[in-house]
Amino acid sequence: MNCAEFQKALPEFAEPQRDTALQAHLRSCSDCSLLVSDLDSIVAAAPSLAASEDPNPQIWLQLEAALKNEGLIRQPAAPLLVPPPQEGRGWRLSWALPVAAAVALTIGLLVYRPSTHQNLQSTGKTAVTEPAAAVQTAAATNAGINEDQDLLEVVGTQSPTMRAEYAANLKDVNAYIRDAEDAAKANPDDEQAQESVMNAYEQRSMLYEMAMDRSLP
Amino acid sequence: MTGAIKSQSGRLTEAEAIERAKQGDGEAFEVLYNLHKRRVYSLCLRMTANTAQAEDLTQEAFLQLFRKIGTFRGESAFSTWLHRMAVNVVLMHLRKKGLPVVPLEDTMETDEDTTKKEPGAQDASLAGAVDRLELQRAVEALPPGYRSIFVLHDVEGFEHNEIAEMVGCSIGNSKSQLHKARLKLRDALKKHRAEKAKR
Ligand SMILES: [Zn+2]
Repeated sequence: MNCAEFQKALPEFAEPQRDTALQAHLRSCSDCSLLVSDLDSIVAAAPSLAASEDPNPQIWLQLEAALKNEGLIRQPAAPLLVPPPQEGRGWRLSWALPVAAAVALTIGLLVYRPSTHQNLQSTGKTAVTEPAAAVQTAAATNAGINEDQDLLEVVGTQSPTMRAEYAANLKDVNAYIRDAEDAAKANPDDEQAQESVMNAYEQRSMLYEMAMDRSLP
Repeated sequence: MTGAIKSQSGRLTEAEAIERAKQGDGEAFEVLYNLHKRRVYSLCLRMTANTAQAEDLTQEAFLQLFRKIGTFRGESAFSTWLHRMAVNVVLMHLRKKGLPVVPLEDTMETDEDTTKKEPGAQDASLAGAVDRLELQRAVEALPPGYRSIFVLHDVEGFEHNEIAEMVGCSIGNSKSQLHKARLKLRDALKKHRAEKAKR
């Protein structure tokens, strides 16, 4: 075995020292044995790059705001950013079931129904009175828009028809989320309202899951 | 809301935190985030070599995971799940940016890295340990496709079959590209050390 043959075989072996043919060349060739020991040093140092950096603490604050905004955090972890408690319940999310059913149906049909839906610019967000909440909401909404665009781009590389399907479905589910969030904001103490926000996001994540399953190799 | 779940001892185990997060407990989410933030952020940072992108992707990976936490079942490993999701988020981002997640086919394969011999090449061997910072710089300078493969395999510990599935290439391709990435790193490290020695 010469150096070229040795180096050609090298990628196959995590530990070339263990293969007898390679081992023989390795013993007789200082170039190749230096190469192998250098690569070993690199491989040995590589794990030190894992979990080696702390993210900016700001990231948690943004994430927390997004989780609250999406109704995933439903109890105050800190007194900050929590809206003052409101009096009066009695509000019921009577429309939630039909809407959820409609969205579920849409998703159910997604696979079979050829679509002519095209638009995806349904992303205007209703204004919120509280400034902090408004900022959070705007940030989260923008993130949502970008995310939707990302998803559609990936789906679009597979098929333009699927892209249109997902665009229409995202539009529906985003409208559902907006309604549910508005209702939950108006009635912060109503568990059903919070639940429907969860449901709405669950619907959305289902869409994402389906799209990812389709698009990822 | 009454019946808020609060940790009593101050520290939640991961399993407890997952169950409480399902109930909407903000503290539990924070515990889960803190347990895994370094690993996820470092992965994003190594894969993109860009702090701002790594921050966005870290947030996105956790957000996607937390949205699905209700579907998480105890028997599967949470960290594996999160780790996979973070990789998918990063790969999707790279694809969207038009960056290769796997090195582009070398049509003009030259093998220059492996067979090129220079006078004094032996002296330029790395000779022993490689330190974290110099490796980090070399990894940042790798072309994106090579960087992904190297980070996924050598840094994060994914197997070739997992990488092949995630990035969409063959196992053989994953192996050969990893090897090339390591050779490129070796060259970069040698070059860097030679330059440092001159100074
Ligand atoms: Zn040799």
